[in-house]
Amino acid sequence: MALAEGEHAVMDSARVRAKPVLVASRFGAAIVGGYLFTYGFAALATLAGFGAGLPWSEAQTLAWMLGALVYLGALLWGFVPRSTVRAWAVLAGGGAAMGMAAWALSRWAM
Amino acid sequence: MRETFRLSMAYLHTWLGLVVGFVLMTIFFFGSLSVFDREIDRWSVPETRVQAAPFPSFDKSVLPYIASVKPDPESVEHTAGEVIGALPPPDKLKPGDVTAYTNHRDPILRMYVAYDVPNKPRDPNLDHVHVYGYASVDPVTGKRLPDEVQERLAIGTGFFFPLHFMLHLEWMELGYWIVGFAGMVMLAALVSGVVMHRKIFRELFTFRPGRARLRSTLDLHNMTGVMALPFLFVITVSGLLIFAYLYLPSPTSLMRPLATAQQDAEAASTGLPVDPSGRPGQLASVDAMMAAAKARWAAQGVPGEIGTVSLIHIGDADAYVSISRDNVDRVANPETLHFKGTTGALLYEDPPASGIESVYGFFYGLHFQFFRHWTLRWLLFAGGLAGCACIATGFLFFVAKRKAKHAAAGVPGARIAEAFAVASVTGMLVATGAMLLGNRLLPTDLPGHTGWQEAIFWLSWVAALLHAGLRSRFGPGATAAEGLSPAWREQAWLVSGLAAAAAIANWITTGDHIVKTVGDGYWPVAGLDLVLLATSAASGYAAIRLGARLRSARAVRVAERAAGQEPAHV
Repeated sequence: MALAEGEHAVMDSARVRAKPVLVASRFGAAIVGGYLFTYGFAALATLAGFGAGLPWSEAQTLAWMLGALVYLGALLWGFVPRSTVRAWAVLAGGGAAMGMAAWALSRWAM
Repeated sequence: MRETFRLSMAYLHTWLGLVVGFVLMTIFFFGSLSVFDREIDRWSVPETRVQAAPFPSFDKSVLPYIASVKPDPESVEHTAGEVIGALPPPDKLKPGDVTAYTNHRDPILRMYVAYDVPNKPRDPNLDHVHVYGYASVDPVTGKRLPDEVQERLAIGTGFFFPLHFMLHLEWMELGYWIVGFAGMVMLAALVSGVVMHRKIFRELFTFRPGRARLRSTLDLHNMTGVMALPFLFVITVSGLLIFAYLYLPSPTSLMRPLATAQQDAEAASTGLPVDPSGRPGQLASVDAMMAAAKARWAAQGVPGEIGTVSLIHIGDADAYVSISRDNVDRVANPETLHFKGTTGALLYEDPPASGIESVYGFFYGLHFQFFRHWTLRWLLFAGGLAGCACIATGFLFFVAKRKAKHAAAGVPGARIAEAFAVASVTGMLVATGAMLLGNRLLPTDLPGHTGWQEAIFWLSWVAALLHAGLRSRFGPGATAAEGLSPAWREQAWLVSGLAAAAAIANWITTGDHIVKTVGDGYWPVAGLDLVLLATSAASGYAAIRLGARLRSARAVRVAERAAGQEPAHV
């Protein structure tokens, strides 16, 4: 294993401390929160691309391709912050904010 | 979450990898087989073992059969669930469009008839609801295949391929979502796997097969993961992008008014009639349009055969015909021309792909592999199997690392994980081999011929899991600290026998033995038989090696006991 011996010890002690609810919430933040983040991102990115002069279908295709990378980043990042609440807040909150912005801006742009 | 970034990555790699790895194994294995889906079709439906042929006459071999195609009962049932109110009876449905498709590997022209449905969809996201009917035409004779042959299960395109992308879980499109999530976990596992390893470059060149099993398993996991990393990443991303419209509907759903207006404007800008006029029209010769298309491509420096022909708005004055090239010489974006149905005049030519469309088209084409390049095709097959090896060794490492500790603590975790690993490696091969053998041995006039083959597949897979569970001896009192579960060796023998039996059954039931098919150069069948025989040999060799290892471990134990020692924990 490429991890140093000390890191193994840290991992083992961390495993003892983790509460099942917190573990489930952490996976939820990364998987579900990450998806909400990507959902909002894809809408806003499509709108941004369209605003920058791309045809709608191409803006959407670009948003899909970027969306795969954004979800990958969100899924990984969800496990990084010390606080599970922070992981939820950034991912789900960010997704909701982007989604609502896209919803409102698209109607204003009509 | 963990004390360092790298520990967080190691944590998610281990646990997401373990939970989703079983699904990923299925996706990668049947994805690898789907690289040769048309060839597996030929093997499993011997009546269609003929050479691929170019697109036949549309006027003579497609148009006359439209009226004889019937709405597919499954499609009727599916659409009935999607619309408000009852559907008209199937024989009253009117065919709206027809698409005929073949490619350089397919000796069958497939016809898809889309019937118009007057009902409104329940879900406003669905702008077009249709019922579909299917037929197949032999491009050489131009005759429809008998229903009896067409309805036979073509195991490549009809079973392994859908298993690869939706696990045959159609309810709520659940299978697509599970596969999509597994794909994202694959990407996360690749990135976190790289982050975990500080000496990644050195590990790329490290394989110590003779060392302790834990070490050589990890070496193999790293080697397959890192060497195939670019392939694994791109094949996974490209698969996800095929279903991006399903996974990420937010550009349309959150911004419906703007999205609908823009989509309508884009459709109108081509000048092609979106809706039929309602006035009847006489269709000109589609064969002439196909000839015009081929002449135009030749003049543009991209000569080629016809791949797809669609007739839109059948019988209407505004009918049009879309013709696409069989894209054998490039990865992406086949040329498409659209002709006016009543006159045959060119209405519209798809413009060259933009930068964004080219990138997306490359991913799409790379995953579907429409191109004609057999070396590349085999490399993609090998890449998929490297993915399987990477996932399988990940399981083995997880199990080997914990087995002694779990056994000492009386915890069944590692043993349960191993049973699932057995089921997803040798068990999956058992199910595949049993299905192919069943395909050759079940009489074709057996009622529910398709269902029996599918049942053999699923039941033998479940049986393999049960066998692995029983043989791993987890639960209270489990003490087997060292060694692999004996289920590995037993199922390896079974795989070896089934694979050889399938190839022999093919010989007996069809007369197409390996010497004949290789001599004739009929590679669709020769290739699968050769792979079956190679699998049989490799699996038998693995079983022999596992047996030798088991005996030497036993001998060591006996010797240690004789010397009055406790067996050493690995």
